[in-house]
Amino acid sequence: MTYALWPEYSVVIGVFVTMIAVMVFNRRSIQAYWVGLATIVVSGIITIADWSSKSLPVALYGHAVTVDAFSLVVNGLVLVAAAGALMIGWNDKRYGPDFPVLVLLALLGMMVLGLANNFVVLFIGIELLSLPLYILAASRGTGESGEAGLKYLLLGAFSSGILLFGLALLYGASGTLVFTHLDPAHMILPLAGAGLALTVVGLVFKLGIVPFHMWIPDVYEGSPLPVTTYMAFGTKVGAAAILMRFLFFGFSLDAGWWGPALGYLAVLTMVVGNLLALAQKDLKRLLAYSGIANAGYLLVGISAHNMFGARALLFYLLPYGLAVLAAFAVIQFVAGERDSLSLDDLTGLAYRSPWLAAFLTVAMLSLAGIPLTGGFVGKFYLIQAALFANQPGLAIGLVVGAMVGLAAYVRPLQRAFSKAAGESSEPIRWPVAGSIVLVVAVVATIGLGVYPAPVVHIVNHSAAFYWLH
Amino acid sequence: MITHYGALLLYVLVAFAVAYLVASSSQHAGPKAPGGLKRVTYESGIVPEAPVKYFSVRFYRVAMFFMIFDVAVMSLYPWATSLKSLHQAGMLRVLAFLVIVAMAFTYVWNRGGFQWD
Amino acid sequence: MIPLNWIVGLGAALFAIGAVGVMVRKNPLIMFMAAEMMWNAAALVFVAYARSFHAMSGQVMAFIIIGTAAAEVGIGLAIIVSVYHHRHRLDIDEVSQLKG
Repeated sequence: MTYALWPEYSVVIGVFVTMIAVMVFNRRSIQAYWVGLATIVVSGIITIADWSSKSLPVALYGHAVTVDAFSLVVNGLVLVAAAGALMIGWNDKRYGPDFPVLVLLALLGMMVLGLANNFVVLFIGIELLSLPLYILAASRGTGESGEAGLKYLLLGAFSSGILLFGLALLYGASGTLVFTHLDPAHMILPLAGAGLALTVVGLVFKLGIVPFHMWIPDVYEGSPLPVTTYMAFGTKVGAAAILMRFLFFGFSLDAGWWGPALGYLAVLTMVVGNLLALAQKDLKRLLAYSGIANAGYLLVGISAHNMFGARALLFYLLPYGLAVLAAFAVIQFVAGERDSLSLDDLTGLAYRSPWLAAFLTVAMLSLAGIPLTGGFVGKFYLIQAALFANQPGLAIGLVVGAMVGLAAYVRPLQRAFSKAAGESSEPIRWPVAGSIVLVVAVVATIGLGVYPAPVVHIVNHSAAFYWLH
Repeated sequence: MITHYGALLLYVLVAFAVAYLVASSSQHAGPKAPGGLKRVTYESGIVPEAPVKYFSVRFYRVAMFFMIFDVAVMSLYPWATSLKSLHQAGMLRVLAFLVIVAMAFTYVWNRGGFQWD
Repeated sequence: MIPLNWIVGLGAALFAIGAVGVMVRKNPLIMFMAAEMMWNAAALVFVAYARSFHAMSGQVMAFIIIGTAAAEVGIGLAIIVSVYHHRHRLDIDEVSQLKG
């Protein structure tokens, strides 16, 4: 008897209990939020227990899913993302009573993406992740929110179609649905090449890499704030995990087919994403372009195609996600009843609330990659991976992108620390749940920058495991 | 020989009689309300050529829920065709699947998804 | 018996029509329909290959694509209807408060 899949099963049970809580306590459904949070905690405890069990890695259901150190690390990351989104949107009536249920369902999709080893599971994971997010994006009921949901839905359906057709061609070329049984040496070549190209385009669409990034700013800007947080952190983790798993398990020996292409896309994404971030006036859009640029950094880890790349990608996801959580929590506090925040609204933040300004500074500096923050360590490992892979172009692109990014991230800070134009504004409310997220995220960001050893140890273990497979 | 065909003839007669009875019973036994909606082309909820502001969402909502649950339950067919070779394990998994579908149904019902008005 | 390549060619044609439809058309309903067409093209190709391999795996995938497409259509129509309620017009160019 293995308990390998119990993190996922516990989320399924948690979804049921949350649904029952919504049905029983209809109007004032804070109980549903508590059940959702308890589910996340229980699933996290089981994940930690699995980590120390001897029976891993294990392949289940005819190699359809593989539970190993990699999938457990992905579990941990998406659990943090879900907990952060749930607590930033804690008991907020604007997002409707279904909010906790949908967050848990999308969490299940992300966890499934971490352990997929089969086209069917890949597809189910992608859709289980996307469908609740479509609803969440449109859940505010305002014009912008509906528009964001509509755009996300149309582009999501389109990219899923491309992905599916690519998978179908790969199935035709190889005759198997399992990643590890794909044998590129014996495939019918044009069919396999077209299938691989379409599949990668579909996945890269979900990750938000530059030629396919145009939906991200609109969707991030229109969606409610906790949902944007969730998309920026959780969706990126899921998409990066499945892209890495698919390419490294299925096409590990034929890296020449995809490595250079992804490398060029990574450099393009890092530079263009950061350049466009420079021009933004809305803080949510700025963070959306920052998310695009960070997807480029993640792609460096994949296209380096060695153990250091896998390790650097897994490590980088954590400081990136923590900085996103902190930045969006600050936006949520300052914006209050509104749903977006322009850079001008930040003016004088350091005088209204010094703590919030300090926290925002830490988040922005971590995204920019300043030493003593987690973002710096993550970027350091990515550059190291690119150099070990003998691809200095990737490293140079990353450094150029980060320097442009620094200019983009300093702009909101400049506003925050300049004097306001006289008029005294109302004090900022600190919701309890959101404050916990904010403080934990900021402390963890600095902790990762000062003493990253424990996380590096976990990530090393995970990536090494993965490489020997 | 001919008696066999007699049975068939009797069967045909009974079939036509039943068909006629069923078809005409609504005309004789049902309530009569000529006019009104009867003259509308489709009686299924959409008023043809309604004013532009009119948009019946209720009908689409129920239709969508019907379609989703219909397709979900359709997944039972492959299981049913290979029931013998799947034994108890297959039975348990299908039961788990049905619990999930029933749970979703209850949730939609409770949250008012099936309310017509 | 229809040759395998014809069926795959039909699937590719359907996929291309769907992709062009999403990119060219302006009405969200039509765009959504075109995207669903791409999904169904993939399902068709899966079934065709599964038949030629005498394997079940591709047919399972087709089943799952159909089931997921139903869920996606349900959500999609709901979102489209709610957007329509907000502005009483359904044109992707008009749905552009967000500059993109």
